[in-house]
Amino acid sequence: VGRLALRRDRDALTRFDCRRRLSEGQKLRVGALAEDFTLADSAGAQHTLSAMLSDGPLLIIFYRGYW
Amino acid sequence: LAEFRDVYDDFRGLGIQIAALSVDSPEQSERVRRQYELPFPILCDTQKEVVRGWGLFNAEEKGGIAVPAIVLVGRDRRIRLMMVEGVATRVRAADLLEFLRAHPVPANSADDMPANSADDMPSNTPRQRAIFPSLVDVGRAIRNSLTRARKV
Repeated sequence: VGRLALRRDRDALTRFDCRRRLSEGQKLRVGALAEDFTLADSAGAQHTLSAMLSDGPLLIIFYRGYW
Repeated sequence: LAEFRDVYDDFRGLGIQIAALSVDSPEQSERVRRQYELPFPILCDTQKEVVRGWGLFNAEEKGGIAVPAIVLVGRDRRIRLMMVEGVATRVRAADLLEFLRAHPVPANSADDMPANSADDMPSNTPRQRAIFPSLVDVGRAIRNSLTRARKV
C-alpha cells in the first residue's frame, strides 16, 4: 500500500509539473485566443483553424502519436 | 481516438467539429486513420510548430511529441475548454459529450465573458470552476498528495 501511495504521489507530481509549465507559458487558458495555424491532414488537404471555425466550434484531440 | 469516432455523429449533432493532431508523418497518421476508421481528419504537425506554439510540446519523449490534450476552440478562436495530460487521458468521449450537451458552446465570447478581459482572467475564476469540475478535483487531489508527500 505504501508503494502504491508513493507511485500515485509521483504521478501527481509529474502532472503538477506539467500543469505548472503550461500555466507559466499562459498559452492555453480558457478564454485565451488560440494561435491560428494551417496544417495538412493525413490525406494532404490543408486545414486552417480560423477557416474551420466558420463551420462551428472545433474539438482538437492532441495525441502522442505512434510509438 | 476510437472513442471519439464512436460519438462523432453526436458531436456533429451539437455543431461541433472534431480533428486529431499529432507530430506524426502524414503516412503514419493515415495508417492510424484507416486502422480506426476515423471520420475526422488527423492534422500532421510535423514541424511541431502548433504543439510548441500552444504550449503542448513534450520535448522529453520520442524526440518531441504532443502532450495529450483535448481542446475545444470556439468560433471566435477562443479556448472554451481544455483538458491536459493526466486529465485528458481520463476524460471519456461520452462524458465530454454529455457535458457539452448540458453546457452548449456560446457562439462568441461576448455571450458570457468580456473579450478584452479574458486574457487577464485569473486561472481559477468561478466560471472556470464551473466549466472544469474535473480539473479542480484533480488539482485538489494533487495538492492533497503533495501535502502527504511532504509529511512522509
